[in-house]
Amino acid sequence: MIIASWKDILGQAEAVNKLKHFISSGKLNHAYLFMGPQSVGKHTTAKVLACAINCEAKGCGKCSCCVKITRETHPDVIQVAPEGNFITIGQIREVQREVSRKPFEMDSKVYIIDEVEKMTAEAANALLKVLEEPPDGVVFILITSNLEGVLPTIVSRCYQIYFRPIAIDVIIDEIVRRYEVDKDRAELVAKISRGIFGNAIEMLNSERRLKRREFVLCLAEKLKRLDALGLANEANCLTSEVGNYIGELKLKQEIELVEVEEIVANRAHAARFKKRLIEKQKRERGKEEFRAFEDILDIFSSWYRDVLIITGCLNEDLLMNTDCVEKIRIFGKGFSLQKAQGALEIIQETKRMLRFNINRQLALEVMLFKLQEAV
Amino acid sequence: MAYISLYRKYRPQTLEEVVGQEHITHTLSNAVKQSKISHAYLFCGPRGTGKTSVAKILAKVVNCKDAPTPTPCNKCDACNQINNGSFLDVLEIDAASNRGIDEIRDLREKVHFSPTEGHMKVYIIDEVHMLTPEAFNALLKTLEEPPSHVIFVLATTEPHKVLPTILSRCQRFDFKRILTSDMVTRLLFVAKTEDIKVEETALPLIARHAQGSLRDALGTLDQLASFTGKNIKAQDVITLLGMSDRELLFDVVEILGKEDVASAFECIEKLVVSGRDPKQFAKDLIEYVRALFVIKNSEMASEIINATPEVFAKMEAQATRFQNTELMRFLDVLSIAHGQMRWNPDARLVLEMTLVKLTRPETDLSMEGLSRRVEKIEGLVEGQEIKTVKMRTESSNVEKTVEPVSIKEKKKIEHTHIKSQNEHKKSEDAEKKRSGKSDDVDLKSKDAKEKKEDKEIKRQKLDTAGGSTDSDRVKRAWPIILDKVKKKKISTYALLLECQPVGIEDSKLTLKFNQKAGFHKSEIEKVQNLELVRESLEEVLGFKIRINCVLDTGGEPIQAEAEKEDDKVLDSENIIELVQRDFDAEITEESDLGKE
Repeated sequence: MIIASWKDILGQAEAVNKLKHFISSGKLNHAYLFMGPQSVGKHTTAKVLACAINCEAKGCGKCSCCVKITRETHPDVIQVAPEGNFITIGQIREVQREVSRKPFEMDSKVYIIDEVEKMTAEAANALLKVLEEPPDGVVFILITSNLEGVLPTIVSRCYQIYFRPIAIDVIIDEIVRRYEVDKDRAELVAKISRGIFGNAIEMLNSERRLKRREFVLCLAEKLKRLDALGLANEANCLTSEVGNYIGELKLKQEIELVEVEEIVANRAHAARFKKRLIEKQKRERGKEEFRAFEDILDIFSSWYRDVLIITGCLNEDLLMNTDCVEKIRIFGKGFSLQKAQGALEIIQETKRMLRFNINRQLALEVMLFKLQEAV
Repeated sequence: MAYISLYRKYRPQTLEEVVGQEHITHTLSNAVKQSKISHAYLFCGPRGTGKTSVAKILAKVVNCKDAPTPTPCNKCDACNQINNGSFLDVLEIDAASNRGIDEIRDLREKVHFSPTEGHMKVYIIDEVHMLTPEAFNALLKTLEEPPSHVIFVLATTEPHKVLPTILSRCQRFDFKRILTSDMVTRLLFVAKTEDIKVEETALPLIARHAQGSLRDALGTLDQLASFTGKNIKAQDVITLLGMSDRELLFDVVEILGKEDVASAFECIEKLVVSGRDPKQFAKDLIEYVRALFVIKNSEMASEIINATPEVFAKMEAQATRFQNTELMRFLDVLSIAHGQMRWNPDARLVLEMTLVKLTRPETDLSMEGLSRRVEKIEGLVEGQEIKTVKMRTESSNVEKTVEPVSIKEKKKIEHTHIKSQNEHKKSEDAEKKRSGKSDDVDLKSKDAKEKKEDKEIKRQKLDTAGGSTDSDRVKRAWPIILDKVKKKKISTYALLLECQPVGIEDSKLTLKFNQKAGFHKSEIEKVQNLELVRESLEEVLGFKIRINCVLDTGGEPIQAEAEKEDDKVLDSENIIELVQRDFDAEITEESDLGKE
């Protein structure tokens, strides 16, 4: 789906209005910093802004310029993203070299730098001067989901545009409109997504994630009744499920690799290109695996959070797992705030550990045992 | 693309224009007047405080057509060229991208050439902390003794990363964060020149958010100007910066004070539904609690905290309702939560857990949480009378009477009998807690009520129950009474030490003095002392009582009946019992000694 106009950006009225204002009043700054959680529309908005800057009709979404930008083939809209784990000083030096050259098509150039927090210290500092006073017609759009990771000197040079989790109602309406599902389901998905639209869509479309959720919620409910062996079994089930998923992904990637290999076979640098692709795929797999484990922990915490809510204030409108209110109510009987809080803390700690290089299955097992003890 | 943002447009062009750095501009202009310009300067300080701007001004100061002058004209060719960055002898080097030894070697080679247009060559090395160690070291010699036509200006936000050998070769100027008041003046000036209308309360908000960086402040002003069409209101600032307004924060802190978990959850729900960022909210809450803390502890709070008088008064009232330790705990827990939100994408959950911790200290197992709970118990003990359980010896009925015992007195008599009272007290606290409502303020008023009621009950009892139980009470409360007297007049206290209360008869308290304490007795019997003791007795016991003093004559003591009975000649069985009790003895063998 090609998004190239303001109205396609969901639930970010505040940011969109602000940017539109800058465009219409002709007071476009030379540097913006988009910040907000992942997949709430930052990158899309950046592209739309680039369209609005470059297109003669200020972002019509139809002209060749806009189409090129949305397909990321426009020569004057340059995207910078981490190569590997970081944005390196080499990449920034290239930006510095390019920045003073005249634009190819119109009279402005847009640099979109994604995941700014992943710039190395050298890269970030190297960007400072050019970011403060770039040549005429250059606009920097920096994107980050973690403001704390960005140098304060960079932040201070940019106009900050906040992106927020999308309001639940907006997500529900959009899902109902786009996918024609019934309202209850849309509400469930929206609430679980925590205002991240990408999450909601994935939840809606991926059979696997729904099954995973059911499994985990079921496990959380019967956790107390399981013995040690049963517990280890369940943990094993979870990890092997993730393993299967990654296996499938790998298979897909191998097919892709073969296809690409055929295309580039006779060109120069084929070997280097292949090596890069393999590395990229490996990173992708690592990321997916991490996300899967995080997802499992998130489902766990959603359960205990709901228990916390129900013991704390008895207001069922606030629950996240709207499809199993009854179960939560039963589970929550005889539960104290302290217990639920304790359980949540165990899960959060495990989630933190997940970021380090640990044995994930072991971490999961330890967490389950701790939970069993705590509740 | 002719538009230039305000922070670039309003870069200061002369030393006088520089805001809030008088200690630097003064020194520099005096140095110029006395022609004592150094060859190497290091400017350091936080972002947006004017380092690069002052460096550029300095370049003009030494290169203007009537240089050296503390007030460059900004009209001559040199000044203009420096302003638009095309002057050949002012070299602005970005050390962050030219950080290697090669770039510095290049610089060293060229440094010896005379200036082409101006009087002096000025090297502005910005972001100097990013130079590699090799580059730094290569620079050392040149920096120490450059040719006479060269000035180095190094600028950085992180002076601690600069080699000490570099630091010692430069005159160091530390740029301060710009004061809010200075910033407001400057913002007002810019707004006026740009023809922007600004509400009065809006500017301090912008300035405070900028945290001492004028660039940030001007950036915000710029955005606001284009966002609102040159008519800025305080509410716009709050929306633009995503700041939670004080009303909301006030309510949340109220909720924390009331320990109301349910409202806390509902509050977060509202927050998220309206699309607010939980992380930003946590940050705002931290700042708000800090403000409360400052208000509570500083007399200059109204200058430190930016708030309209009404809001300030409201915050002041709120601050008095919390204790320092409590606010500290809020800050601690919130800061930890804010740190957690850095890596945890689920900021909402973290916020929820945090508010549960704050509203319910029992779920917070950290030291602060525990100490809060202990404090609460202490508060209850102090604010409330200690209830004692009185065993009636005649019947096994347990009857509650109340002695008003303050915490300090309690400590004195701990060993005698307070232990049981304490236990009772604790269980009562626990009950209170379980029942949920434990608002401090509420409790105190409740205590006061209880006090009154208890007193009434006591009076009634006095009428019905008669003397014997009261004399027991007097004996038990004697140490407390002594303490009261001690506080009032220490000499009377010393006199009283020589006597013991023995009992009450006809609402007269009998005090028995030691055999040799005739003097003490006669002293106590003097009106002023008697009055004092009676007063203390009334305070502690809650009713008036007269005093009768007697001397212990040794032979036939004047005693209460109950005690007389005890003193009857002890028969052998009683002796054994007494020995058992006092020496913890056991009977191992029985033999009939009595008849021998």
